[in-house]
Amino acid sequence: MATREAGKKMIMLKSPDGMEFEVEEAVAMESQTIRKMIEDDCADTAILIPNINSKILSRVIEYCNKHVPTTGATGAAASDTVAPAALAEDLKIWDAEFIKVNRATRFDLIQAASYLNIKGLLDLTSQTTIDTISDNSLEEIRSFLSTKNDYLPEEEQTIRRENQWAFQ
Amino acid sequence: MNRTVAAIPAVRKREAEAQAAAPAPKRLTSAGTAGRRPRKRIREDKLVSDGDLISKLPDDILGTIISLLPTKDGARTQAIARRWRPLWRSAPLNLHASYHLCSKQFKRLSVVSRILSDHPGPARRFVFRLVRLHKAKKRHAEEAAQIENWFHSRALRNLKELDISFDLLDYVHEKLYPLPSSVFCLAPTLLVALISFCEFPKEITHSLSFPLLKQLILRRVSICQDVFHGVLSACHLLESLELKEIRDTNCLRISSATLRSVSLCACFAAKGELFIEDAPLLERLLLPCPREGGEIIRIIQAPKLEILGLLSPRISKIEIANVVFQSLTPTSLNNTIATVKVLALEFPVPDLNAVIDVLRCFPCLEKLHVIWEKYLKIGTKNARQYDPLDPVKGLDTHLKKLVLKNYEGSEQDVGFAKFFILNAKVLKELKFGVSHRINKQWVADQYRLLEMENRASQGAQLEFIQNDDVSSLDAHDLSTADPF
Repeated sequence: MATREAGKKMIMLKSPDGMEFEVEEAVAMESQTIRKMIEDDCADTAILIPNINSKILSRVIEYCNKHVPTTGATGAAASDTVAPAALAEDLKIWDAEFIKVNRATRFDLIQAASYLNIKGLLDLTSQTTIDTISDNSLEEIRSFLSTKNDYLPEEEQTIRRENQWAFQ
Repeated sequence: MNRTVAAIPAVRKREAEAQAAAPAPKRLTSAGTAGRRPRKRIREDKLVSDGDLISKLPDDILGTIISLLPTKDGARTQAIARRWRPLWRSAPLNLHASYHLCSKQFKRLSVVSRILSDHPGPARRFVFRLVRLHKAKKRHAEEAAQIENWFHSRALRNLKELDISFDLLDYVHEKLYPLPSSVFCLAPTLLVALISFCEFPKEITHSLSFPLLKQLILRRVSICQDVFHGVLSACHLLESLELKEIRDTNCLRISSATLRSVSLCACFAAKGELFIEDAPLLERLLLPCPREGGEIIRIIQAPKLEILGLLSPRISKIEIANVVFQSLTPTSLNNTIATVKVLALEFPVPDLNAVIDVLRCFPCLEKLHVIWEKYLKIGTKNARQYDPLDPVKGLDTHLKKLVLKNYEGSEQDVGFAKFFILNAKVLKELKFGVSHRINKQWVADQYRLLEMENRASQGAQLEFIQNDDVSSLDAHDLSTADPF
């Protein structure tokens, strides 16, 4: 078991392209998937994270590092020293910077967040898609998402008719 | 030994999916429709699908995204493309019957009925504020029957969050809509319930249990003592309770082994009493806007009470264990409440003696908020003259933060604030809320008048801030150390 700094347990995460990342257990446990594996004792020394390449995995770890609840040396919550509102504001700004990535990376991050079960990251990465779908016409949505309309015109009409309330 | 997650079956499945997706995107996109469409279409699809990253996401992720959308936008995703067709129905329903869903009030009701019959559920959240029914008898009865049926629907089974209110049946006499008793069918799964503008049944005959409910909010509801008591004792995990403008009752009794926060806002129409008999975990009692003259608050057992306020002379009587305030004047100074750390007070004028009398009852106070509310008609009576030989306990050992709202910088304001600046030895933060524009000169004058250079705590920092509104306090966010 890798340990560094008194009391801080370290976990090794491996990406399928062979990179290894040493992270604090608390940071890794931001992922509910990894938390479950650690709790079930499936994580002796290293955990292989399938499907998530090192570029994406390093970004996910960066996110978890920032979002892990900070606790002081005595174990007292950080909110005693830093105003929680200021902390939240700081995180928001950080998140906004973090998500400035291209579409391909964003979708990779959505998949990683979903597989690793990191709710905050999933919400953050899905938000752009949600904003795109909200309040735009179907044509606009398809164009934003680069999705081709593969319905026959009469099929689309049927869907519109069956869910009339949603298309008014 | 290096053990990998591949040992977990769910992961293996994902890996297999990914392998299928990575080398052969063509096969994936054409899989659903193979054999039915001409070759040309398939080639076109492939070209487009290279850019269509979202359609490659697994169903559960797309489902999560759909559940986060406004209800109407969620349903519209069915028409984007075939990939999206089944997703709305398989994703958890997020039903928010807002203006955006349907701008016509009456029609909104039938749209909700339609959605609840179309969607198989489960629903995560159902929000419908001000359900409005037609007045005409026959239509009214039909619509009432529809509403009754909503709560029996398959879609609302496993509902987690309910937020519902009804339009008044009669504005002149403020007649409230009777809450359908079928609402209680949702009890087993609810985590959050906000019920407002309706009349609870006069009795609940069947056995009731809210095994998971954590937050309960009742606003402008008519509920009798017995039913209120029945609902409360049916909650096994309730953490926060908010009561606002409760009608047709003049006494509410609370006993709960789990409650951590209670908020009470203009609770009774006339005279009324809130009686907290036993609340072993109660940490915060929030009183955002006390009603003038009519309310009595009695707390018998709340050994963990830490956050309290606004206490106001408007509340005719406040009893906490053996400490009694009448119009915010303590009847005796022999008893104290050592658990309270954060306190908010409201007074008509900066009356140092009156505030000190209250502070003597709270010897372990760390944060104090005082609001000057000059429109307050009731003042405190008979405050004792402060005796410097009888110092206030806790002032030199505990008080770290003082916030004054509606500070104007008048002689009275300065006199009041100066007392704390010169006596509170561990004070760190002073925040004075002002409404008027201030300039550097005014601030410099205030520092001089307040004798900041002679402050008892050298670490104390003074800041002038804009006044903010205290009339709404969040009773449900238990992570805030200071809600005022």
